[in-house]
Amino acid sequence: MRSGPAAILRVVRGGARGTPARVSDADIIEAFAAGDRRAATLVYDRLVGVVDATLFRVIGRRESDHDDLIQASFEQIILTLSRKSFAGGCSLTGWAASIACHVGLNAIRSRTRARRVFVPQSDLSETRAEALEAESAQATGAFDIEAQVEARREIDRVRRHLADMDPTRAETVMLHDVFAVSLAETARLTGVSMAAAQSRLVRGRRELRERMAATPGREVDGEP
Amino acid sequence: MNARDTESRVERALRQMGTAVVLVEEPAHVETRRDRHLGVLTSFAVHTFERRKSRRRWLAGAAIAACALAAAVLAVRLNGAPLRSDGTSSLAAVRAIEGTVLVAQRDQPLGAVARLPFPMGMDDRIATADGIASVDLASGATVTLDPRAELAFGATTNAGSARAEHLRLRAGRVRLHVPKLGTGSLDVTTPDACVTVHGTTFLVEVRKADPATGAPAATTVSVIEGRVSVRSAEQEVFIGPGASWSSAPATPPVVETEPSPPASVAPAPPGRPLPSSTLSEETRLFRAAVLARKSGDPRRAADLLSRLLSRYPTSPLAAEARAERERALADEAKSPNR
Repeated sequence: MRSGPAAILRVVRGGARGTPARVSDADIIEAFAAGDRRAATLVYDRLVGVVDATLFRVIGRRESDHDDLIQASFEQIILTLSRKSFAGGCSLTGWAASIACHVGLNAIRSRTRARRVFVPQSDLSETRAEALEAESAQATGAFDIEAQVEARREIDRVRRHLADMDPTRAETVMLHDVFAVSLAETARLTGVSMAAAQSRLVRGRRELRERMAATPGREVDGEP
Repeated sequence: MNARDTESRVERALRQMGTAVVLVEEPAHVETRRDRHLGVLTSFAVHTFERRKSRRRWLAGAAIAACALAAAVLAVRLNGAPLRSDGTSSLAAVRAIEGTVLVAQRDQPLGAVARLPFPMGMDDRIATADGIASVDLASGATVTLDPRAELAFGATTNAGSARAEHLRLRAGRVRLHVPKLGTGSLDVTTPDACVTVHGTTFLVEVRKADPATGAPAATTVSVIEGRVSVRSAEQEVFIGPGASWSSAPATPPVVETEPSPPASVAPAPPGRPLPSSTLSEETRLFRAAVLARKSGDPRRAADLLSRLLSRYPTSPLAAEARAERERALADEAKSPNR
């Protein structure tokens, strides 16, 4: 029997294509400053993961326009880096997350406005699926599923309230309370002082609580 | 539902948003999306790089244009006045004349003033035969030439932001009113003196030598307002309001009865007494009248000015004396003690 240390397995991203060399923030910023054609590829490969995950968490799911939102986020990132207006002082990933958060909240806001005119087919099917889930849970006695559905509705309401709020407050709440970014980092990402960020956070939380208290329980989709 | 319950619901929802599991996408979809995005984003980046370059070029062009414009404005400002007919820049302009006044450009012979304002450049001359003339300098100073005066314009020099104007008085009497010049200065050179000023009103007179009486040529300076410095025979003296100075020797020194010059202003030095010019007496009377009116005695001011006008009807101060007397009489009319 063979003895010795157990083999340690690790996941290798990219598999057979080979591991790309690690590119630092400074390399990417320098590539944009020099007008390097590969700059877009470098920044995309570096940040697509964080942009995708942030959009998923802000919106709650990947919808049909998810890829477009990723592209919109990257256009904003590339534009800022090209103009050399990225202030630094924070990591590219944190900054990209804040841009994706902004894009995501804008998307929810525009969808909410659109729902006031018509209800998309996707929402109808989603509501129907939730109803089926609840019926199924009741039939089998799995009440935790109903609780999960209720929790999901609650999160959706929070999202829509955030989208209706003042964008600066909503983004501060999102960065600090959802993505667990420190107050100092939140201030840097939003380009304000610590005191201003603190004020936005406190006012944002209070406004969100007031909105939630004003619309308790279940409600019609699209009308928080 | 109470506030605490709402708060806990909100906190829970926010926490769940942050910890939600991000579902893994199909690798094929991720690859397809990457290819599509990189195509779009690469051309977007190249486009922004091109725009940045063209913007940089545009900014450089705008900066060059702004510099050229600033240089042009500066050149016009330093020259102070529009171009003359021969294309050279002017240093001054003859604004008003009365009687016969002649002008000459550089070495040309003297001729009549063709039009007003008449631009004057470096080394140009103006001579009043039996008339008077008023000349505005680029700095804003005004020179009034009495009859039989001859004045030439020297080059304006610039040392940094300081601008210096130079005049050469060859004969006769001129009256100068010089606004505050800041770091700039104006000087009037006579055959035996140089008067430098930084903002004042004063008179300079050049009296030519008289072979009949044997009197030598002399320069007389009389200050009405402000302070001037006079440099002559390697000496420099400062003259304050009401004081006069002359380069002529062997005449009684000036007696300043009214008003007394400020302590910081030196009167005419004992070794440089006044000639038999009436200029200092005219100035003294005029200044005493002004002070009397300002101190609330318009009657005395009017008397002094009447005395000045009756004794010296052709005084260069006559016009101002008449205006000042009108003001004094008006003050007296309004006075309750009348």
